[in-house]
Amino acid sequence: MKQLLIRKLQKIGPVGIIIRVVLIWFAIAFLIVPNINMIISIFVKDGRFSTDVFNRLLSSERAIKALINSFILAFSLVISVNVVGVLLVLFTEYLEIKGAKILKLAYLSTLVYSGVVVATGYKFIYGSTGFATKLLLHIFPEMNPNWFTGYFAVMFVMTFACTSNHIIFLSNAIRGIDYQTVEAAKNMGASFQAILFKVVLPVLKPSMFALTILTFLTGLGAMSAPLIVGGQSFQTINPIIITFAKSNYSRDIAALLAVILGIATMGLLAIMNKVEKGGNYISISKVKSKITKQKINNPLINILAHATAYLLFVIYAGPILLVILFSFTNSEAIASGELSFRFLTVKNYLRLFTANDAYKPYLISLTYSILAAVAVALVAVVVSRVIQKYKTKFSATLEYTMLIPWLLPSTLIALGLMTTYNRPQMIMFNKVLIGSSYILLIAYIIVKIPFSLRMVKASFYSVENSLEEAATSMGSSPLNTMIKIVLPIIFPAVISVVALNFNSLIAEYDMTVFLYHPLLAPLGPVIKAASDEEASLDARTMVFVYSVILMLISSLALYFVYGKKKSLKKLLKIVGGTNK
Amino acid sequence: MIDFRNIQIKYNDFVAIDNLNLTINRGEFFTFLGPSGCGKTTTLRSLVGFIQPSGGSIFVEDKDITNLPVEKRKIGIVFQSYALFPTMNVFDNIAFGLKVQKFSKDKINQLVKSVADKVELSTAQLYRNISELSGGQQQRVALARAIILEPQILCLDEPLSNLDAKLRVGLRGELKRLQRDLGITTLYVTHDQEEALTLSDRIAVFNKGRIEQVGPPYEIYNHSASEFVCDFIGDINRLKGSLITRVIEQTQKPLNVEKEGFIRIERVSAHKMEAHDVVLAGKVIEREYNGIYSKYSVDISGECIKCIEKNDGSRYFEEGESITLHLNSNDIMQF
Repeated sequence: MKQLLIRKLQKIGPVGIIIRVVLIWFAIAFLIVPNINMIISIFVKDGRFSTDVFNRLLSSERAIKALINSFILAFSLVISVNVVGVLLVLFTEYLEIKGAKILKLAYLSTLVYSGVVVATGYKFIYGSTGFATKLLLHIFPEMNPNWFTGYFAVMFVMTFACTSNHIIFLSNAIRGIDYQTVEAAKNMGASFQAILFKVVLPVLKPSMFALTILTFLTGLGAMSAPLIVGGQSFQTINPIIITFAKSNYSRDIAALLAVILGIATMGLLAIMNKVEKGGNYISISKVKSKITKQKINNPLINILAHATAYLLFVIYAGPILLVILFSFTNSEAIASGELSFRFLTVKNYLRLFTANDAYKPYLISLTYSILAAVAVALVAVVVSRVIQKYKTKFSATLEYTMLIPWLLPSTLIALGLMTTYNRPQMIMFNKVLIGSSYILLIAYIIVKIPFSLRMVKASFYSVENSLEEAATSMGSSPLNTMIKIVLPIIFPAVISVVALNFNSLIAEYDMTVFLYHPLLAPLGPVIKAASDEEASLDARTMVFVYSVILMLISSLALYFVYGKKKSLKKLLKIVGGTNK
Repeated sequence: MIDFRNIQIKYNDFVAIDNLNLTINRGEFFTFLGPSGCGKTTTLRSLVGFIQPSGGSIFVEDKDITNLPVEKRKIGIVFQSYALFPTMNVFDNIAFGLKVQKFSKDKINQLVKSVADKVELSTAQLYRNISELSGGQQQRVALARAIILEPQILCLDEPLSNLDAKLRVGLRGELKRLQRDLGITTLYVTHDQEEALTLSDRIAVFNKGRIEQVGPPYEIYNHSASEFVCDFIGDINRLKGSLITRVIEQTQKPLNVEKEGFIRIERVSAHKMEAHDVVLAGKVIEREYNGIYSKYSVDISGECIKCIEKNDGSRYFEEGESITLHLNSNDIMQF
């Protein structure tokens, strides 16, 4: 037994042993201990087991209402997002709609305009002093200027902000349809509607199941929209968790709410996994032909379809255009919600590059997201290599451990870190991490591990074994083979992962709000603060500039990924994964 | 040269190779032939060092290499997928092994160009990306990469299976010529009997992890050692008891009526071959026209016998027409 262990260690080598030790430490310290610790903090009071937290949760009207609201939001979003998502995909991929390319550009905008930025943008446009509200007040002077708040506002923002997954996955699914099946149906006399409902949409069913669950989870874990446009009347779990986590007295209720959210997430992901295993309807055709856009012959339906497509275009493109326009106006225009040539200025942009308080949040966010995106890619490469190369119990356990953050809402991860590392812990060499500048970086890395691992692992598996064998047979060492053969092949995928992670972290809010250093506030909290009623006009002005620059950066990153090699698309097809 | 001694390869409880013993001579073109999953590639990979046998030893030039690392075995390999490095151009692919062995730049240039000549790759092609090459050119690069380090053994794992039929036939000849010129001991894995018969000095026919027969192509084809070998190579007719009885009646050949007899379809003819032919009358059930020849399925007393006739201008038989088949009893094999 002992000899076997020694032989195994010899095979792994000293570098391999060090890598494994570091990975084990990382997994225990950041993926296991904080979560266990948080559960303990809920149920252990003064060294004794207690279920008192349940009574306190049940007696908190606010918390219960938030819980109910979250489920109402999740259920309503499933319907609204699916309807809008399917329409978007049909308009851009299946039906012959005039100007579909321009429409698609607007529909794709959620990929670069999301989260806290989109909620803030909508508030600026539709809020009490917003451009759209002022416009509506001219037409309906009696209307309530605070109309854009509560359940309706949250639903509106989230319905149009959460269609990114539909655009990516459903478009892929519709493109995967063999057009010959449509032609066969036509040949057998099927009508336009019959083909749509009996041939095309059923093929999308498996993707729709997965998207439904993802949408439900997004609704359940909603943070920015309820926080910014929900108002007092419509608060959900995550914003309440933030409020409760601020006080020592209610932190255990916050943790319990996060655990409830986590359990719901795990349950739904388990269902999704089962649905995924059920398989997709993959075309069995050997000579598949590309889908051709269908003309709507019924003039009434055709007009209706065009009208809906362009209404959606206005909804998607409107706020973005206004954000861009307002970014070139002074604070007077923003305060009054009026657009006029006399308010035009480039001062806001100049300020971004000259005023310390204006560019500091940007620099901080850029630094955090670049560092985290690169670090998590490195972790994913190392872990994927261990998993691919050594099919042992250790590598299987390591893989499952690394996927833990996928099951947990980011608020729960943040709370776990907060409750664990707010005091010295042996596993962290007695260092207190809370209050430090690097806890946020660690949190970003943790939350991005599952997505990165799935993507990078898939790229490792796409490297043919025979390539490595060929190199070995020519005398190449494992390290040389890794550097010269494997890494250059997986490099495009790794770069895609870095770019996508960078994109989703640059204006991150959900975790940042718990963990950021008070002197190093990143963009997420800064943008959110600017949407508050008491925020200064200067701060509100700068948010427009931040949003425009964010969209630019995100577009560039996506171009880098999509436009160049299409490696992401290829990978998405392989892993069918989602970017958490 | 190469000695497989009592080789056993197991995957958990599944025995992929069972007690394999085989000797391959220096300079020989030796082929492992068999259906998918019979263990031919597994045996080849154990020789290269990608698979560690569960039992037995492999000797090369009387040296035990069973536990020798892959990179020290001096065995070149061409993979079925070619395994060309997609991030490198043709030159870098061929030069990879030389760079690993830290050859000088000049020497690398000289060797790559010389080996490119041998496999008929032009200088312009050396600087192309792998993806810009045709299947046949990729195969040449894979071959050049495998021989540049002057290995003592060259292993080819179904190297022609990704190519179209015509190119396959062309490259087959080139492979044989190159092997003769280099004088390198070559192990060739294939499931294509025609490839095996045309290329090899000797063939080992694999079945379910065991070798059924080893021998030169002529012997394997004409004197198959088992029903499996006989059935796997070429097209055969199965002669059941009643037909065997008729053969015995006409020729007094001591055949066993309890066992099936096997005869290759080209050894049955609609025309008289020799004086002591066995003659069987029947009716044409089906005729397949194939350009060079026609294949007939003939019903003889309820049993189907196939034969082929060259399309040399003589009349052909229609379906339903009476036909008399001729065969030589010495061509009947029984196991």
